[in-house]
Amino acid sequence: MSSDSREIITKKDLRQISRRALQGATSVNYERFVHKPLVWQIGPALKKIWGDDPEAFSAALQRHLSFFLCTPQVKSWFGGLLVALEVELKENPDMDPSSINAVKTSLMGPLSGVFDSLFLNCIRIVACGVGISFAAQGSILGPILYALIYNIPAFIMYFGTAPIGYKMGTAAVTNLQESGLINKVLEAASILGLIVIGGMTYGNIGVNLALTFGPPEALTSLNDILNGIFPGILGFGTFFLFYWLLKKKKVNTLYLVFGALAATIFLVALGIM
Amino acid sequence: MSTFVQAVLLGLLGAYCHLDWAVGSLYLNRPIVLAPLVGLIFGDLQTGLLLGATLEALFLGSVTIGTYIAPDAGISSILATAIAISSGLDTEAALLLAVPIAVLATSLQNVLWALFSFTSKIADNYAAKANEKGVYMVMWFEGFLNALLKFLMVFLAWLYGSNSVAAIIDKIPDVILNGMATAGGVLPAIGLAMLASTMMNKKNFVYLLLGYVGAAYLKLPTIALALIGVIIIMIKFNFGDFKSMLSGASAAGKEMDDNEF
Repeated sequence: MSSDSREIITKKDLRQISRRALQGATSVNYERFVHKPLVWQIGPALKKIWGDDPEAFSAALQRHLSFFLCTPQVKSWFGGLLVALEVELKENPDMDPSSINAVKTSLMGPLSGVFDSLFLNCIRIVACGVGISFAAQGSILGPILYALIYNIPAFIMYFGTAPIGYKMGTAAVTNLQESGLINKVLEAASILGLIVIGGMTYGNIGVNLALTFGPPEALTSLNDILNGIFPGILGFGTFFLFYWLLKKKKVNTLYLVFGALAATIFLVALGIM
Repeated sequence: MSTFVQAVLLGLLGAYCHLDWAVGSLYLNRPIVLAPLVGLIFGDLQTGLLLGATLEALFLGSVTIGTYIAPDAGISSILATAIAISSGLDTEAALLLAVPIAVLATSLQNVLWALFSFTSKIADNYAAKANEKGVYMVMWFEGFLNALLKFLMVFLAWLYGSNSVAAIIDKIPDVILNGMATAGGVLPAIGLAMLASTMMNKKNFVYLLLGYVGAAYLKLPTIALALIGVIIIMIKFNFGDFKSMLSGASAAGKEMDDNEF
């Protein structure tokens, strides 16, 4: 690992990562949420790192098109960190590429928990409180103060944290390389990633049956019974059905999405879901 | 100002409700900012400010967090303010007329977000060809459609009246709208399964189960799950044994902090 190669990513690139974090939710979809804005954000840096190798560049783009969802204001930090990990991957062919997604996954849930609370439930409420009190007196300061109170901390996050993420990623991997702990830590990252995915599987998937049975005065919902046996059993089962189809049957995701939509509409039409 | 020009200006505010997310999630697509702007369009900033305060207080609890998508406070407040200022109705009555359009806007957005799972496949194909610009193009195209949807909802509602727009959209079978909304709960299973498939194997599968059980039975927040994960890792890999680590590698203590947090 020569230090030169790590200078591929300059301050200018990190500024671009910060700037492009602003487009963090330009497009959203229910399958993988804000993955495309992430690729938009770090795409130019990925091209700089992998540009001489189209196959590796393509793999990096596909890597970052996986499920991504996090608080907009932490995306700069994330971008910096992910780019640092990509640089290390290039430097160290032994590194398992899937560990980058493992690190991303294990961090996005907990960090979003912290920063959603901070921005939406704390700073926003303060901003609204001040804004509403001025606007209620007919003062133009209402919306202006609201916008400033919410966005000054947000912009500090947007434009101050990409270099921090980059340094943390680089320092962590460098120290690990030197002490020979890297494979252990990468294995640990996928354990943490899976725990977080397990938690997100419960909170983010909603598969419910509308069926009821029994006499009208004691109408029982099949869904409640199933959830009594194992909470969210249908959602968890759906997750494993897709996992099995993807990994064992190698079914194209296009068919999965199409099948899921068609099946859902069909079941809703029959009154089952 | 003709009704048509009003409709265009209000529609642009409607489009901004989505575009806010493309310029930094500034949260300027909220009643407290939109209502005064609607006031400006009608030449009555004062009323706009007052309505903004009232509506913002009403919608304070309604925000999109994670995968929970809140009803559209932006579209509701644009139309409610416009109706209140132009007809002299009080805020609640105006809101009552505006909310059906906001609910429809959310249903139609559900349809879009479900359909964008298909356009994601186009982005995947561009990525497979190492064409990052193709991925960007898909993102901007989707963002444009989303903004266009909100523009049209407000524009048409103002031009033809909320009721006639609602009547047209009523012609879309409920099965499609409800089905797409329900699919919003099913589709994340595909994204999460794709993510898990990159790192799960027979040996580490139990950790996924652990996270699930922690969330489902113990109702633990993600942060708690992550901390439990860190503890398990420290036990499993002996990271907790600081004495031997310090004697082993001088950088060991530091790198742990860097990596786990």
